[in-house]
Amino acid sequence: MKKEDTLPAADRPWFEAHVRLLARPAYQFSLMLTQNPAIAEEVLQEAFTQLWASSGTPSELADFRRYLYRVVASRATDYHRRQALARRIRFFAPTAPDPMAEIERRVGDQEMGRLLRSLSPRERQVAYLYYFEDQPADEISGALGMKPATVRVVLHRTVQKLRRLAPTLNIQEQSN
Amino acid sequence: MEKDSAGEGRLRRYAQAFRREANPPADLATTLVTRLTTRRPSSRFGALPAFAAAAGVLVVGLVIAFGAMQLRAMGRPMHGPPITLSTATPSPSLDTTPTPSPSPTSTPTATPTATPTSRPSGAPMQLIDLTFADASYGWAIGSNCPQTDNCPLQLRATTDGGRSWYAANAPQVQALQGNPGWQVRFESDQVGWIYGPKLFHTVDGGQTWSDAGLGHAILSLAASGTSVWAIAADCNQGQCLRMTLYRSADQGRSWGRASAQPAMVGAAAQLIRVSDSTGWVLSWSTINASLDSALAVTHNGGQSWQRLVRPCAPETSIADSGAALADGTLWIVCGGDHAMGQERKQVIVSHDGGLHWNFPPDAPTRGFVGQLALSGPSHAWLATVGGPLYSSGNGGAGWMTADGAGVSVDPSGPGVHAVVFIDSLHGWAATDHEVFWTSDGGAHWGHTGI
Repeated sequence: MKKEDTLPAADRPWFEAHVRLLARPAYQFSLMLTQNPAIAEEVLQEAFTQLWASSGTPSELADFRRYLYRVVASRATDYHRRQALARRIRFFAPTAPDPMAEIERRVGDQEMGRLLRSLSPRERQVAYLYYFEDQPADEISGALGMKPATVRVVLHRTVQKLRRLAPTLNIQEQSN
Repeated sequence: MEKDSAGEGRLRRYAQAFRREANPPADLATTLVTRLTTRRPSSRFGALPAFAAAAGVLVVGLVIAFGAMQLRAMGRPMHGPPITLSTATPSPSLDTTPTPSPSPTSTPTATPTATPTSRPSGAPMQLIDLTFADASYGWAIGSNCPQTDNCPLQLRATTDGGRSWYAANAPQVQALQGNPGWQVRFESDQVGWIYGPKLFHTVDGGQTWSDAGLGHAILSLAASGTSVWAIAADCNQGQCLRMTLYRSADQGRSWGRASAQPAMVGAAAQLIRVSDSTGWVLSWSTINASLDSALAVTHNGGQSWQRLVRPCAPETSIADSGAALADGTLWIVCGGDHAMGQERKQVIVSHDGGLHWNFPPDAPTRGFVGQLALSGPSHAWLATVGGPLYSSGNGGAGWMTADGAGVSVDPSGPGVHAVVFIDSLHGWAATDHEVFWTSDGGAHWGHTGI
């Protein structure tokens, strides 16, 4: 029997509280990365399960959050890799309805949604944490396992890419 | 970090709308937790072979175990008495352990500990303020007006975390007269204060009250053990002057003007205290004529105060509210000009006691700034006057109403009067006639009338 099978909830009463606090923001992060509500939930479940199974999961909320976001980002990247592989071996598939269409409609800016989807998974991760959650570069580096300097480089490239794709958007470089 | 360049407005608006509209499925957190503890079902990520193998092993194991039990039971006589099931009788009190009282006058019969006999709940009252000493013991003050211009202050108490309330004795004062408005605080299940135009003190859980005789109105009060601080002022016709910090070392029996005074401006102030030694005083103007705010901190029990950077810009210094944790997390909501049920609000967050600040981009505009409470360094709850209860679980970057979690507020009503969290799990909020409670960090709320 593996260790994760034997971890009783009583040993970590804080875990459920963390799940309840972070479920929504982590789901939205996952949704931005996967662009599919069902997959976002699946990724989030996998991430929490991984954290539950790991005896080294930090109990302090800020560290737990960083760890969770890193796992969500990693799982979402795995999902994209599998999707890319599936596209290569698929000969024919009917066009599925876009699961994000309704959310995009309610958000009210479909062009911005399209621009964000054009970013690479890594760029989208950094852009989301920076622009959507207002996290500083140091915090993003902790969440994504990158050096702060790398975060700034990715942000720079992301802004350049958005400028190139939508010159009228006029997103400016950030000083950090 | 400067993030407010003009070209980002659209991206920011998209981010806000996304956080508002991209709602997870209902009860996502519960689903996640349930699947954690019950071994998640098959993943679409290719875990089917492993799952099938595990299921096969489980079935074989169960068959072997069942067979073994049958073999052991063969030929063995039954022994021992039949098992008797005993059913626990639910107790109205969550904690029946007697709590030692520091007061020599208090007796066990004077405590508000739950008894098997039911106590009168009192007439319905319009709630004004709410406080909890721990997860079980709480008090609420309010008004009940049997005649016009006669609205005596009412006190209700609970010993089961807000699930049921009973009428307790309140000081004989008018609830809706005088300035500032009445508030209630309890340091333990025995020692508490009701303050506003005057200061009253109890050491028997609210059965009897004595006038502290301070001679000033009390704007704010904060206690830690036997040490109590209060900001007093001379208030007349809604305007308070000469705000002064007073201290008591004996749970509020005797008071003296503090030798070291924090920097205060304006006409309103809030004491925010997290320990014997550390506390903040947030003050603000309340009127348009002299918009300003100030924040002072002490780390040595009030022996000296250090003025920190002005927390709220002039345009958001009309109604401010703060909350803090022992780790140095400090949140302030600065309320500005208001109209049509909306108010400009700026949230600022510090994780080092006010030395450095984050300025999250969006604060909810609906409702006016009321009480602020923290259930964690990144999780805040904002009660709004004329609006809903808001929560932010991401350091103020995004806010959502607690309607979906069970705190339903009449959109045309007076809003949420109070919100209290005593730790990361246990919290309460109150509207005019209802008290809401949570014991899971705000994921779900129950409610009862008061």
